Amino acid sequence: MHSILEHLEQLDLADHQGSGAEHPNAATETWVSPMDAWSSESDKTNPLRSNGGDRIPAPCAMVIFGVSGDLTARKLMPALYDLTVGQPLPEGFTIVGVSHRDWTEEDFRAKMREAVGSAARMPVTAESWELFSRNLFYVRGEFDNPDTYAALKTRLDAIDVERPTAGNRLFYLATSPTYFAPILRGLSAAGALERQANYLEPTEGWHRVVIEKPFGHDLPSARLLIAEMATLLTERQIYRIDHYLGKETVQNVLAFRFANILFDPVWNRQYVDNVQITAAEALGVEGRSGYYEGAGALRDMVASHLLQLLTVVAMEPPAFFNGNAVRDEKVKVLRSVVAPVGSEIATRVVRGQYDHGFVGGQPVPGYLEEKGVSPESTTETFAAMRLGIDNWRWSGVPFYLRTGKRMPRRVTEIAVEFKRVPHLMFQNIRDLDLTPNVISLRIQPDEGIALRFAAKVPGARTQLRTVRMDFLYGAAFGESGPDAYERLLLDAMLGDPTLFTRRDEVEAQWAIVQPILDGWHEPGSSGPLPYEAGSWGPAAADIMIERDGRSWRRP
Amino acid sequence: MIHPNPALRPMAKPIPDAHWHGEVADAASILKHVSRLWGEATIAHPPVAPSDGPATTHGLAVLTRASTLNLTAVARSLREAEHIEHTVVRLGDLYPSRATVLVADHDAPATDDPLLDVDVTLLEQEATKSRPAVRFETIRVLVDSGKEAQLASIASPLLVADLQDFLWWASSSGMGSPLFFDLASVSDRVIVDSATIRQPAVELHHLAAIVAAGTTGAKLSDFSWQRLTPWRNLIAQFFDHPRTVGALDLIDEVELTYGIGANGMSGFTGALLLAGWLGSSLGWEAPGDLVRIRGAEPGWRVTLRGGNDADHREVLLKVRPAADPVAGCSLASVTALAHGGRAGTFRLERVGASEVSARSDVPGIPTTRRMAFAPLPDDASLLGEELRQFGRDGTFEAALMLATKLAPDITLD
Repeated sequence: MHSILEHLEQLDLADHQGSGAEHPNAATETWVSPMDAWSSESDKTNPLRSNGGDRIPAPCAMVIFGVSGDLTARKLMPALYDLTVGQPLPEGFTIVGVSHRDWTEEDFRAKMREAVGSAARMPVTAESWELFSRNLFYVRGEFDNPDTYAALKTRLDAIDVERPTAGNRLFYLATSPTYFAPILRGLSAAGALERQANYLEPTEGWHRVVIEKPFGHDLPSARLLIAEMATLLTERQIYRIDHYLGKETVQNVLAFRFANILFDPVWNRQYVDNVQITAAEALGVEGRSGYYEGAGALRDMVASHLLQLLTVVAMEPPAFFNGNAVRDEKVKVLRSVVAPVGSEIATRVVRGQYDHGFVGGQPVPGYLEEKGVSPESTTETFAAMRLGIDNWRWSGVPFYLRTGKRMPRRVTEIAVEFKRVPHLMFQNIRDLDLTPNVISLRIQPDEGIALRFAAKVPGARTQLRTVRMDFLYGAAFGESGPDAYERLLLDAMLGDPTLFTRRDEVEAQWAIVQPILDGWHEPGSSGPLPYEAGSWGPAAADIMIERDGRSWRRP
Repeated sequence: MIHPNPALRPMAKPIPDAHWHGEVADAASILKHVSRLWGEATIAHPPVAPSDGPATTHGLAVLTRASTLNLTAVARSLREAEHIEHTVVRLGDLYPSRATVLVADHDAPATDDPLLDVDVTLLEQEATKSRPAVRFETIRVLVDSGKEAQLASIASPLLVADLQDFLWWASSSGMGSPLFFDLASVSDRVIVDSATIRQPAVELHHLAAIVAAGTTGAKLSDFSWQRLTPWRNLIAQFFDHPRTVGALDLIDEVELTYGIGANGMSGFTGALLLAGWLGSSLGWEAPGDLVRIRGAEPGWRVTLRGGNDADHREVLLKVRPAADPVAGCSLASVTALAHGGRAGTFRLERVGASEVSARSDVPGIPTTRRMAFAPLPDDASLLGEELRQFGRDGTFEAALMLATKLAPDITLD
């Protein structure tokens, strides 16, 4: 056992000398999950926790950098309140907010009370808030000032004495990515964050870091960020959030595919004609122009969320539902994606930018008229593309991805469209209204799964029509489930990385979109095509798919 | 998820005019009236837009008839039936497709009337920003006590096909009756509240029989067990620290006190289950059942055997009632001593309707004291949680088996 661990440690060190993409096998096939490592240390387990059903993490201090920001107010604090009051989080769980605001602890608690009151799922009573707010602490400081980290270290050490946090620390960087490296360096220099072994559970408290996308703005910057973080942390300490993976409906794609025998035999090139993944928003940039101008739809949506959806629909069945088994399969799919390069970009990728129009009956401005957007901006608010997957299961099946702002409505779905029957015996009947079978997995809203198939219209004559069979989450479960952040925060505290993005996954995602980014910056490349707000994007997107003899769904 | 304030939980409301009351001969006649009501209600009362936000894109405000589960609940008096119906409309989010309340009214004299007295009510939980309006139905079937045996034959045809079937034995009596086992045999899950038990040795044995049926039988859930969830979490948390986990092997005394709730409900069974959980998790064996202690602090005690053959030790288990009204029908306190307290003392105590205090004193480690948010759940919270359970709870089953061994052959006051 000891020699195996030594061997793994050596692999860990070697792994940090290069990127996972350069040494894919080292990164993906010899990985040992933290959960696996922990389970092998059976003498350390608490027998009163051994039932496995309760997902209750050990008490920890969660430090949120950027606690005055929008993400904390809208997502993090409401999720933490719901988790605490609902009791998956243990007593002694502690939240330390860090920001430059000149707040007192009372100010901080009052701000968080507002946030929780407006966004938590659970009602807030005086009593429940009192019990929750006892766990809130605040440290004021600039992220580039070493004194901030010294003060934070002192506070965390005191908390470990006063509370049962036992040195367990979860650092959540709810900040601009430009602060990731400075914060980690500051924490490390102050001794508040330690680099911990990749293959052994720490004996004196675990240290983990959660970061939000974007993980870089292109492939080189993503690699740089990965390398910078790797100098201070091992991969098992890093939890990269793509909140789409925390959505119940995305996880349900895995359940649908891998817990039902019914669909697997047809989930391949023999029966599937094409797959369409759509993530449409009715909203515009909504005050995020500062970020969005530098990002655009390709970076903001395709490079992360849409490719994550592609992986869950296209991956091979993992042997286990754990961090590395699932992520290994996702990485394999990403590395099999055939992305357009060079001249293919002009015919297989469409970018657009919304013009003024009407959405939901209301007039809306064009992107160039939005506050904070340059009138000369070439940032795309729409992207559509055709990808292929070069592997045994999917060879020849096109995957169409589409995302945009100011579309007719907000909808995210994966539609698997099947081939037509090889011979239709009903050729001589009138009113033959048949479209191919489609399984649509609706991620949001109206979460559920629908199957489109042909049925006989009741009556004395033979008449066929396409009908739809619907499964609605609301009808079957009566509840919408926890917010994605509740799931992901709890997973991070439990040390379960399954629903987080591994570094080789990040690199593989950027490797797919990088040629497109490069192509768009080629001299002579035309800018984004305008489309009317409230439409499904530029006509060129329709032409692109019609060239293949297909059309976009109207989700 | 425990609701911090049950009074704020959204309630399902009856759809106006979607109610029928009458007498029928059989279940098929009931279903005809159910179908007729749905047809009328869908036309007369289309669903309304969410009250807490704008109607979103297509679908959310559209009628969704629950396709979740069947709930069959049993009452032996009209008061118990009203409690069931009161609880079902307060489930908050997860509603059954059909809740059938079978009432054998033991307060009414037996008659020769062969007809069934039936109420059908359609209800709606209004839409929210994130969920469409959900509609479901309740059916109450009332018979006199002389016809209790025929209720099982009515329950089966009223189950909606292809859904999980839950039986909630909501009566404080009759657990272990022929009807109980008949209904359990057509259910996927049986939900009881062992806090209502008056004869622990007899009735826990009945519950253990369901568990012993293994994979061929229904799964069992118990409100009493669920009331222990915060207690079990807090106890487990004492030993999460690497420096305290070793104290588990040195525990040699455990004292549990329990409250007495309304309507004669008692935390005694909950105390047995907690002892069963500790014992089954830590490998303690029971030589026999609890023995009564008389004197200033009356209660029960038994000495369990812990450790292994090479290093066995005795664990004294004491169980006694607490004169603490705030504990309800669950635990009032838990005290565990490791090596007589010299290797650690661990104590939980309910100090309010929503709070349990936790304190541990372990040599070499700073004393920890804290307050945990642990509101006493109402039946709607408990039932809502149980309706989310589908799998077998091995931890509960092991705890129940040991609790059954510990249960004294007494009748609780």
